[in-house]
Amino acid sequence: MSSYAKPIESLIEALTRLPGIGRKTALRLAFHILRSSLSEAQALARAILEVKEKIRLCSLCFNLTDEDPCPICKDEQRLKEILCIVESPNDLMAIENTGVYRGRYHVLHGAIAPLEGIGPEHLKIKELMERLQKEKVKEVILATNPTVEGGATALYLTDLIKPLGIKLTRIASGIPVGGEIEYSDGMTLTKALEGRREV
Amino acid sequence: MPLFRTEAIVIRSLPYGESDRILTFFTRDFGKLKGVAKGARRSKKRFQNTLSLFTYLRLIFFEREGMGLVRVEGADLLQAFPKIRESLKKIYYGNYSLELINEMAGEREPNREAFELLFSFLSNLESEEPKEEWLRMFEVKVLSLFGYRPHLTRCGLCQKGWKELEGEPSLFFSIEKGSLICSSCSKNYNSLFRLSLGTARLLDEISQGDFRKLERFRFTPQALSESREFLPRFIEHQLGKELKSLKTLKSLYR
Repeated sequence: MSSYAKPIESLIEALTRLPGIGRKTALRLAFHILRSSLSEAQALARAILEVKEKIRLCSLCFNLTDEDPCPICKDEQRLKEILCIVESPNDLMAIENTGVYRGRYHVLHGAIAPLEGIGPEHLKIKELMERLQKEKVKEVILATNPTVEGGATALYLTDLIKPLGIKLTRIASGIPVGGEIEYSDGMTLTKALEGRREV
Repeated sequence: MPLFRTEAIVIRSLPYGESDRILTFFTRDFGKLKGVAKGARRSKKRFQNTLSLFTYLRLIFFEREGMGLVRVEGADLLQAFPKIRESLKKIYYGNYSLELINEMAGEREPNREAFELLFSFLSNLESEEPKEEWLRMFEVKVLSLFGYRPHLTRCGLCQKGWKELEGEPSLFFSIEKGSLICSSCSKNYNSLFRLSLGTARLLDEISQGDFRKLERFRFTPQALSESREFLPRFIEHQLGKELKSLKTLKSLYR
């Protein structure tokens, strides 16, 4: 079987290791890189290296950052008394992009998943409890996913945080905006009815 | 391509790629099945919430030649067990039952009794406050339904039965032998767990009993602590691997 020149092959092989990239897509990407200018290719290589060299976890909230503490933790305009707990930096970004939330965050880096062998000790829970001891937090928002794992994590945190006398809230779950009641499943509808509020 | 239909319980669910999900089902008619649900993470309408852990559903799938994974075509929700998700203890118990079935069951080997067992275990979890003895009963039943029933009626070496063993100062269970061992034969074995005659009798009766009528079995504190020690270890020995969910489960005993 004939193959491409060795440098091309090794680029294809490296790209194939990325999630969701098969050999065909890797081939297309490799040829795109090959056709692009040297400076573009260098910029790509530099960006990859930079992300590995400069990105670390914020020592307070454990979000991904290139400066410690991260810009959110450093921002004096943000409310110090509200803390939103999320599973991942992507969840943090999704909430941040709404522009509605003005408090701070704590990233757990996962959720309790017994079938994957992930217990509370694998998450940034110890660090969260230390923060709650030190900082004057008045409300904790549990914004883990409404999955079995996210739910288990929220239940675990409830047991830990409730005795501290801090107000504890869970993000609402129910019918998505633009959704249709007719096509909603029973469990979502039940949640929506349970979480109804006076208007 | 023919479509197949069967009742199934989701025993594992993992995200795959950008929008798919790889699932393991324990089905009534086909035993354990692994499948892929295309677009399950994006399309809220097609599978709705049917493909999360514990869900009992009517599965519609087709086979793809040369592929180990079936393609999930549809899933109608039959029971979501919402109460299990509201208690950490129930989630831990439920996860353990799913892992045991997943590890014990062979792919495409139907085992209707084991399906009924899992379904009634989850139904009990849904409706009542869980008791630790449920776990022990589930373990014994799973072992016997998949052909690993521990031998508890006589000493595995000298063959002395319950009657003759009554005066023995102490009895043991040998993980390697998978059997009851009397004190005089015990020096021939390592990894022994203390097991009283009462516990051996109880567990043997459970292994042959109907799971839906298990409330009639009563565990003494001694029977509970003895079976808690040896049953999970015996299962891990049979599987040749550690059970991942056991660690989180143990945190409940502390």
